[in-house]
Amino acid sequence: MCINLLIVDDSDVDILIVEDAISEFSDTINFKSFSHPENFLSYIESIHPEMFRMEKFIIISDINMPKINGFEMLERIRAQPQMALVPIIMFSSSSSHQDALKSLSLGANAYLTKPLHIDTYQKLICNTIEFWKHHLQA
Amino acid sequence: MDKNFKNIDFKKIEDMVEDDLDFRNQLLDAIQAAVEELRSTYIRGIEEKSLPTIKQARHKIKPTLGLFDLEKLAIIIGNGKRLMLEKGFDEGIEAHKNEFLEAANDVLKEVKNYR
Repeated sequence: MCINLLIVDDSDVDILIVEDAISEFSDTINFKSFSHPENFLSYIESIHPEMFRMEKFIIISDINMPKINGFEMLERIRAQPQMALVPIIMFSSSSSHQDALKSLSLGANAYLTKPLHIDTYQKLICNTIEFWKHHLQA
Repeated sequence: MDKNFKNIDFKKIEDMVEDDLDFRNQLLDAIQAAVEELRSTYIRGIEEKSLPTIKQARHKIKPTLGLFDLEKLAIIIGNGKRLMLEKGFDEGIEAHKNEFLEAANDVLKEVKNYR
């Protein structure tokens, strides 16, 4: 089964690094990226609720974004019943305890700090996806 | 600045793109856009004397600075953080602004020349 991986990050550098990291999963992952949270929310709203039952989704999102930040986006996603069980991983350059706690309180399944070395960054992304892929397929 | 710090480490880009020219151009475009955004937001933050704006700009560029070794810019931004916290936006801020602009422009010039 193919997993739909949705990335929300206003940094094109980060999106490219994630895209490169997951190229090894290309036959099992459908990848879609969004630079603007508002576009991501419109996309989610355009999907028929039944799709979230039939297909598997993983969302990875940055926090610090203009207009709608990651917290607000998270709140709006979790407010939709069909999104209640979709894994959401917050991925930020902030190592702040408050940001992590707020993310988890709003319903994120994990909070990860963006590493500052390419190898670690890409390995972290791959391991995270691998973990959730197995979890969703179990 | 006494020591010659790197503006950017292109070897890290080459290691990552593995001879994929399209990917290399996409990555250079993305780095350029990130530094341009930093330059405009950071300068706006100084002009408006807004620490939250500066903090946001610093936060947003942090992964790019680390991942591709934009050493000089990272050090100048770090020095600017200390300067603003200790002395606000008056003493030494004009010199810091000029030093920051020069470093940001040097990165952009190197990225442009590298293509």
